[in-house]
Amino acid sequence: MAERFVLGIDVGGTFTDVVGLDRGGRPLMFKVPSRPDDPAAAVLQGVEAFAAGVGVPVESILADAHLVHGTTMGINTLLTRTGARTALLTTSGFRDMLEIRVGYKEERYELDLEPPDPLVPRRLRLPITERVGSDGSVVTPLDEDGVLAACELMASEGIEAVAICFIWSFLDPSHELRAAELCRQALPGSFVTTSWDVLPEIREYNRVSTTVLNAYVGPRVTRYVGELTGRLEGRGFGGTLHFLQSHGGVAHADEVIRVPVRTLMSGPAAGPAVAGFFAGKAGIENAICIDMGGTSFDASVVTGGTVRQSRPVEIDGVRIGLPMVDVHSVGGGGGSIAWVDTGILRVGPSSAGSVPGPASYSLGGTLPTVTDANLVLGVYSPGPIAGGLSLDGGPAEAVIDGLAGEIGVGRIEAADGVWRVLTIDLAQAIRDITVDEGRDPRDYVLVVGGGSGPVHCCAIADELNIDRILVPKAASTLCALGAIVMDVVYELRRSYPMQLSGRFDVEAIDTAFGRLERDLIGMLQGEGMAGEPTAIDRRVGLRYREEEIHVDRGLELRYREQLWEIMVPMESASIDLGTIDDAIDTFHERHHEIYTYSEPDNVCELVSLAVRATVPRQLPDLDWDLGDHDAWVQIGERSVRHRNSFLAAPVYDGRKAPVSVAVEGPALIRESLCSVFVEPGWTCRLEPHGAYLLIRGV
Amino acid sequence: MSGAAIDPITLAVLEGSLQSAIREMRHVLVRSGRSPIIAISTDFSNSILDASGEQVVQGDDQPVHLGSMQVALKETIRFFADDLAEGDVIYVNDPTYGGGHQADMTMFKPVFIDGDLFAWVGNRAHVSDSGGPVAGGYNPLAREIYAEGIRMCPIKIYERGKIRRDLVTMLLLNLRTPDAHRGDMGAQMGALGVAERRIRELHRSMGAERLRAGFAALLDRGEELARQAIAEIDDGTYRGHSAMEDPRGGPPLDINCAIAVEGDRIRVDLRGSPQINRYFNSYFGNSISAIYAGMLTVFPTNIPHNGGVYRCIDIDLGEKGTIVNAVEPSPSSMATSTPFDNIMEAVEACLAAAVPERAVAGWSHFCGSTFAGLDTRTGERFSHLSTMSGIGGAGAMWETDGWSCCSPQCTFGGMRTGNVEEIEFRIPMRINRFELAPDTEGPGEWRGGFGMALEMEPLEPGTVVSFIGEGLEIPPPGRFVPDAYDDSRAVFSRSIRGQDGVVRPIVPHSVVDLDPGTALVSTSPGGGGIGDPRRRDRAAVARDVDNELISPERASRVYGYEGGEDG
Repeated sequence: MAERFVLGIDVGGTFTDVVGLDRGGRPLMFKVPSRPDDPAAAVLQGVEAFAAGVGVPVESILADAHLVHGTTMGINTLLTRTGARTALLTTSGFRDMLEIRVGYKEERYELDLEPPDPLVPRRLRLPITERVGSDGSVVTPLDEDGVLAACELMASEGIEAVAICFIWSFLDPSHELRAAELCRQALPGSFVTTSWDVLPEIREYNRVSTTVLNAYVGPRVTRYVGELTGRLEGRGFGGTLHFLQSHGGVAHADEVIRVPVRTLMSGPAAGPAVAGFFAGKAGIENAICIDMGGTSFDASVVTGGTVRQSRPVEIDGVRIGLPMVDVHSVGGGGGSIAWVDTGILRVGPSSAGSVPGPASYSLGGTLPTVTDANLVLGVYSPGPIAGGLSLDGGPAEAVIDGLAGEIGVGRIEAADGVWRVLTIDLAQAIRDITVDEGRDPRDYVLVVGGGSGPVHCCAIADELNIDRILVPKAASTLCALGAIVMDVVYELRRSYPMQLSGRFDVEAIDTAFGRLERDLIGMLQGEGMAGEPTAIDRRVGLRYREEEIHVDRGLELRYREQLWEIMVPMESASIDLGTIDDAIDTFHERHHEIYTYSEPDNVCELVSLAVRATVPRQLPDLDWDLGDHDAWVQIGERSVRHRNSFLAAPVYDGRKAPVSVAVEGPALIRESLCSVFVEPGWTCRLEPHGAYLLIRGV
Repeated sequence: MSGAAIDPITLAVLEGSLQSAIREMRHVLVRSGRSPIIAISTDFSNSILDASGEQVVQGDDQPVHLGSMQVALKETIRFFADDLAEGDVIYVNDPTYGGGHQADMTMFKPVFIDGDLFAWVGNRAHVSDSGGPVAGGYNPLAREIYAEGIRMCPIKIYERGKIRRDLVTMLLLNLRTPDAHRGDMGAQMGALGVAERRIRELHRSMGAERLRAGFAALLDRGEELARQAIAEIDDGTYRGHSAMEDPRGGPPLDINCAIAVEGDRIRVDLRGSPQINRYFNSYFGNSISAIYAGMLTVFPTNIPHNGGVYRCIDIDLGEKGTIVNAVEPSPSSMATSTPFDNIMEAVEACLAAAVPERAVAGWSHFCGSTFAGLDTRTGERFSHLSTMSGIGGAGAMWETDGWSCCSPQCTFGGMRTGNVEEIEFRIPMRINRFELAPDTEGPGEWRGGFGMALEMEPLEPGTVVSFIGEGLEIPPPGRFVPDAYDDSRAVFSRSIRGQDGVVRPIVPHSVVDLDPGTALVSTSPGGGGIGDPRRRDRAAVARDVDNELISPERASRVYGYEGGEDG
């Protein structure tokens, strides 16, 4: 393993980032311009840059490299509405599921909001006579002639992708699978996908919408995977190519070709994984990841080593039922504009962006921003910053004075107000994704990324009573690093709705789990990640040749009459009344944690079963090249506002920081692309694993 | 009380904290509420109110509950006067105490700090069943309010922190779905607990005086924003009318509205026909809410829904004993949609005259079904109010078509129909069809959304179906649509297909038993349009024809579209 080169590749809108480990485990980072017209070219260029960096020919690297790729192709295809010409086959009588969105209008007080425009227009939503009942029996057989007639119409319309979603198909997929077979025969070269393959779970709206999206982005994403593989092979590629998945793990390229929609959140999904990685190095299981730049603030959560997911989610009006890493994004960054909204100070959501940018950039910005407030408060100092820009104190003071006049306070109080309101908004974004599940932010470490995050992190932590913060030295390129530390994760879910009361069918649950597990292992084997099992012990994971695969199983449960469910782990190897009772007990406990009450006497319903295989990433120890310093090197001093006074804060050189030597706040630590603000009441020390650990109240 | 002492920074901190509490309350109810209408349809609202009962914040929840929480709380305060203590939890549903209809159960909790009543937290949720002769609470056969389920004046279900087991048991004995109801009460309590905790934290961090002043400043701010918006309307008196179908079969009943704008104040005079002995009567709390909801079109989207806004609107409901100001013994179980929607339409008709550029065309009213019976799969009784059966299209505004399949104005599209599979798992019915119904849109330069075609069949013999609601005769009104083209006749049509295959129309407001092999077949109306359909963008008409939503015949006759044109 250590002999292989491992490269993480993150294709963004502007830059393609490549983070590779050299043979010594030292991370090397490269940025090359993205090529929206030919993304694979930028990837190869990034690989070439890395090869030059380690001084090894590209071919030697690619011969056995492990490439892990994050791509925004799926999400961009959706956002720009440039996907395939798609048709949908649905059960007759349910042609409009996409358009009626279970009748719901999200922003109900926006009276003049435009009605939605579905990815497949009505004329291409083709009803097929067939029906499976709620007990899984066939009520009406599949009308194959109807499918063939639909195929003729689709052929004449030049359809490139076909989504098939029938009612109750997850209980009996035979109609969907047969229809898919007929479509593949009649429309060779088209992308055909069924809801059985994408999301075999109850709730047809989630299913149909996700399946349609899979078809819509499918041809483009799979074409890209083929294109990239071809080019890599042209350079002697003999290693493995994995893609970041929305659920927070990585999977083989073949899995992307099977269900391309799983790569939708391919980029941001790395955030919590890399946060979990650094927290894990510090021996902490619970982490909140924040990534704060110029315009937005992204927060995500890892609890007990598990990344928080959410579903269903809506992206640009499209419902997606697959579990995805929950990256909660709010407007809030250095460029966020402060304004008075009839007696209430607000910060954001509008941002001055990079043009004109904050007033202090002197590029024409005339509105007060967070960056301007930070300059007034002494958190930032005037002078050159990254990207060839420079901060100027005069314009910052002028716009903050304008705001102060409007509020009726002094300059410093106004800047301080901007800071406080921003802090509260950002803390709320974190509460939104912790407190709602009954989690207490105090039980978490804050892992900080982005250019602005390291300055605001102590204030946010104070607001939430969080007392530990990790700021990786690679904070400004946090997600790029994520790709190479993420585990391989495969997950299958299937609905088996039943009441867990009276004489429910335990064997059916056992059989269903067995089938799901077999399918899952089959997928891993098909993609070369598992051989024949040599030992099966679910408590320690299945052992396959030299690789270790952990298989976790879960039950989604709810109370009768309830319409949302909670996933609880199935801890034991065997499935019987006793172990299901244990899972039900766990459900009652979780329900109580989240909702402040539980009903142990009430009947539970099983909704879905889930199995998840994790192949832990085997990484060499990363060498952060920390050097050998035994004391902090002070390079300056700054007067920084804290509460009602200004304090003198020493400025230290982060590149010469000593390992494991604590420094007390107030202090500023200057890194190459950002500064860490250690507020009074906090201490900071650099950990051997390449992150600053800040601790409150020591 | 002076709001002036509170600076914009402190106010931002306070408002953020209260909004965060409301979000948490909503989350507890959505995720743990047990009645489907709470959990799927999110038919509930949360509120934080000051000690006097004036609403400081309400979550952006149900329009039908706008402002009526404070009406109900003021009744509650009047009822208990000094007899309130820490640990009390109060439950109320009766329309004579500010309730909407009995199925809306409101829970209030006084927040005592250092022995003083400091604030109130409350929520109102629509539950599955409220007892009475018909499951689900909507009783089309009721002639008096006494036949519409259990009536609760404000009662203490907890007294000084101790549960009143006698009262709670009595309540549950009157309901068909006691387990689900107990769960709903738990969810409501959980939500109140969250808000109470947050108020105590604020009290600790800000102190009593500043927190009180902060509440006052938020109310004053709502008032100021409302006054600014009202001041932009030309002074004058604007009149509007809407009609309500008479469930007894007579000619339509009248609702007349006059809105007088003078400077930054508005006075609303609402008058209705004499009350009737059917379930379409609105008591005062519900009518006030409907007026507030209708007024929203003139306020900016981000206006807070608090007591300060309501201060600027003077309301006169006329003398008692009318369909908009009902008194005992009038039945009122449909009031939260009919005449709620009709009252909104009368208000909107006035505002269409006052502010034509913000005019809203009529939305489909609610005209649905409740299914009840025995589910032999589980051996248990079920009761299900079907949103699917009652949902139609939304009205257009200038520059935007109405939404198809959108729950009525009393919810502004915020009710979910639920998934077919979830419904079939939960109740023994099979849904054979649920899709857009062509040619149901109200025509216009901007057209209304489309209504729905539904077919449902029972899988158990003796499934009891009650048919409720309004919209069987009068289509949702268009606005500024020339009479010549306003041919929208889209109304609810409902029939039973018998075992013999013959389709027979349903007698409105009836209760019938259905057996397997029969089916309920219905179509709902689309929303009203706005402007002249002949001026509609040709490409937009072509798209609807292409999508088989508007027939070529109708496109030609109403929109003047002959095909082959594309603008």
